[in-house]
Amino acid sequence: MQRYFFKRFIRAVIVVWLVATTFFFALRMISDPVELLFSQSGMVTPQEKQAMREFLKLDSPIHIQYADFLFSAVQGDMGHSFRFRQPALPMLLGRLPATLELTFAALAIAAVIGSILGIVAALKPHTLVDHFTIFLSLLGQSVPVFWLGIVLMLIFAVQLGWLPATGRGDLSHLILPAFCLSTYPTASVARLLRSSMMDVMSQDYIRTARAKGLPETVVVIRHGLRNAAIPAITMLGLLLSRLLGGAVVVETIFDWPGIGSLAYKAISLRDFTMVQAASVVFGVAVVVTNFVVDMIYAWIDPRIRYA
Amino acid sequence: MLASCGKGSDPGAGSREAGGRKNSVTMAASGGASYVLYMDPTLQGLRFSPHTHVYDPIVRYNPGTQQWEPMLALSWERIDRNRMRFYLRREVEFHNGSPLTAHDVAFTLGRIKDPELASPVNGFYHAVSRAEVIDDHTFDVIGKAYGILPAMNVFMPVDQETFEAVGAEAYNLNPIGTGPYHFVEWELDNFITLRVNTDYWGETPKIEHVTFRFVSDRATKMLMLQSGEADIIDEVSPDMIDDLEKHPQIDVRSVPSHRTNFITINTFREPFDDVRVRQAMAHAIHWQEIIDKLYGGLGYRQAALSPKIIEHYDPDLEPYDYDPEKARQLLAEAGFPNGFTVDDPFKTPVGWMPIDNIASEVIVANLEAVGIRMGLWMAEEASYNDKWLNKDVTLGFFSCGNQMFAADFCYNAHFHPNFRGFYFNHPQLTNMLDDFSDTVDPDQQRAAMKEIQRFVHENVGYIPGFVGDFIYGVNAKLEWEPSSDERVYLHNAEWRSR
Repeated sequence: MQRYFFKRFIRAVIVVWLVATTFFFALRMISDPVELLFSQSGMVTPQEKQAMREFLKLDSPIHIQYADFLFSAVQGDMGHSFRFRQPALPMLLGRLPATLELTFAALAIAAVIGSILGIVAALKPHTLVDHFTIFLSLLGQSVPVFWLGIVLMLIFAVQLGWLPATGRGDLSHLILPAFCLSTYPTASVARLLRSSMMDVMSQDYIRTARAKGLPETVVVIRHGLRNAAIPAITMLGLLLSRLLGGAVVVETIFDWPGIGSLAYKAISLRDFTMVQAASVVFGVAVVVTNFVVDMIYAWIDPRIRYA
Repeated sequence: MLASCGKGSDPGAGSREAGGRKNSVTMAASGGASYVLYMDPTLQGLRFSPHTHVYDPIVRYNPGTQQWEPMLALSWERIDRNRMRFYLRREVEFHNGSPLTAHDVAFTLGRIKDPELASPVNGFYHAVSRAEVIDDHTFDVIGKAYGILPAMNVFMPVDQETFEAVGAEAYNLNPIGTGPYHFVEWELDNFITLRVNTDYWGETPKIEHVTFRFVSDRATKMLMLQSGEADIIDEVSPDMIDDLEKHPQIDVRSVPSHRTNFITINTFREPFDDVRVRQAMAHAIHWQEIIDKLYGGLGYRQAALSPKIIEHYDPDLEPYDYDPEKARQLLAEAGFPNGFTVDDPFKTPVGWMPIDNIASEVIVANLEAVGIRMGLWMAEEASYNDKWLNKDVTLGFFSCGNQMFAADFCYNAHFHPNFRGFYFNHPQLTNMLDDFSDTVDPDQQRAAMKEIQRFVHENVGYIPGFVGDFIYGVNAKLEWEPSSDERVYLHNAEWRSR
């Protein structure tokens, strides 16, 4: 197990390094941030641009910039935001609680509603209920979140006035963005749980449980769901990283002050250091999530750790 | 990362209650490149409304009268060609009680001009070199003959003593100005809240609390206004007007802007180096249709790069009339009786200016109708800006905002080789622009500016387009009028029926 852990850890570090390196070079290839910093003011002389380039340390050769970046990054310094002139990493980490709050709320909704839909569909296969659940799942996986977000705000904030449209505060602020973010994972969990539940419910031990005279609820939950849920739990772990990506769109629409909305603004402002730092934070989050899922999996199933 | 604010503050919910009952206003301001990045006015200012509430400029331009009016300076006079003397109001204090002095002015200007700072706003002060203190309430600004007053229109002093005591970073996060509102709280890129300054040297504002929220998405801003989470939203696009006006609690208010929309032409690329081809294009585009059908009629055709509200605008300069037949004739004279195809597509940003991309579709169709065939390339603001700034545009949609209200700003910015005159420039024009900045007499300035406007117009250094209004969505109960300088002033705003 220790060897497996070590191998996975090294792989995770390499992935984060690759993400950081790709973003570092890609950002420098696509544009010159100095020009954009002065985009409002047309009256900038070449000397002023050069002064800004030196200030941002963009005047040294790219390999030197890269070496500086790596050296600082391993010490936890992702540089100063070009735009805000503040350390980028603390700014992003300050937003982490908001993003985690939104992401875990969406995950919780996905787990609860997805499970209910999946179980109900599996217990009533090929009925109207099942078809309706499949339809909902399809909808949840295909509807674009930017559209859904606006529709939700229009109905629940503007028309009904039940919930706030934007911002972060009490629980009422969390409902719309979390629901919006949860549609895809909810649908995924429902579909996966439906198929695995149908598979489990046809097993001999379920028949045995029923033959023993156990109540149907106990059969479904204790004997059925416990076995059928394993792949769904794994999937939830993997969906967490997808949710972090989806948070960029949802946070922007709902003006939720998380890492995603800050990353979006940094991209539109061509704030290289902030985008770089955000990519590393997202990269680390995805890698850590996958790493934890892998570890749990290996712990559950010994065949994986010896493979 | 937070400027004196706690976690997870909820300016939205607060203002939703406050908007109607308490004495507060929330504005959802646009995103893009217009986020408030610094509250230190030596790094940012201009169109950014929070700054104009926390700080005051030295003078202010009145677009209605086209006159410069007193703000922190009660009066001013020209000492010689390159020196103007300003007399500060004696009663003005910073929010911490320190009196405003000429030393604060000289310190602030010195900081902006400091090459070590690499201030992004330095470009607006190219006409100004330094300030000299005469006495505690008098200072001289040394610079070019024209350009000192426009610079003082955007210049906002900081309290030198506090700035030096706490350092630039702390001052930026807890700004102290002389303006009608105290700074309260700022979550970077998210919101800023302000509280009324009851000791303000001018009339005390009636609105006690002001929140600026920075919202990226236009649809979100519209929903915030409709749901009551915001009382004012900016950058309303014309296609949103009908929806907003249906709402009984919402007004749409607009004001003539300082921003001119136009088409950049790379006059150094064939066949656009031929003035007849450029004239043909100017005659080919149906701008009035664009204004009426796409911009809700809230704009006007424009011949010069300076809108009507800028001083020394030439009212006699007529725009090129829409005449496709004349355009074809000019193309034939230039050797293109059957038109021509341009390999490089027409480039346009999407959503940078309210109707940029849809107007560009009409422009491309208009050009095709007279025989100039090309594709259309669209990108978000920053990508488009990259192309434009890297001289990688043959024809492209652009605009010039003249927030300083300087008569020569857009002409220098776009046609002077020292700045961004890389799509069109001419030695004669460069001399005219340089001479203009050395001209003192207002009549001579007007005459010189007229020549500049005519030179560029006749040579079709760009294709003049239109000036569109700034459009805002406003809670109908709020008494407030938008300003042509693109800043939102809540100094005189008040709620109608409480």
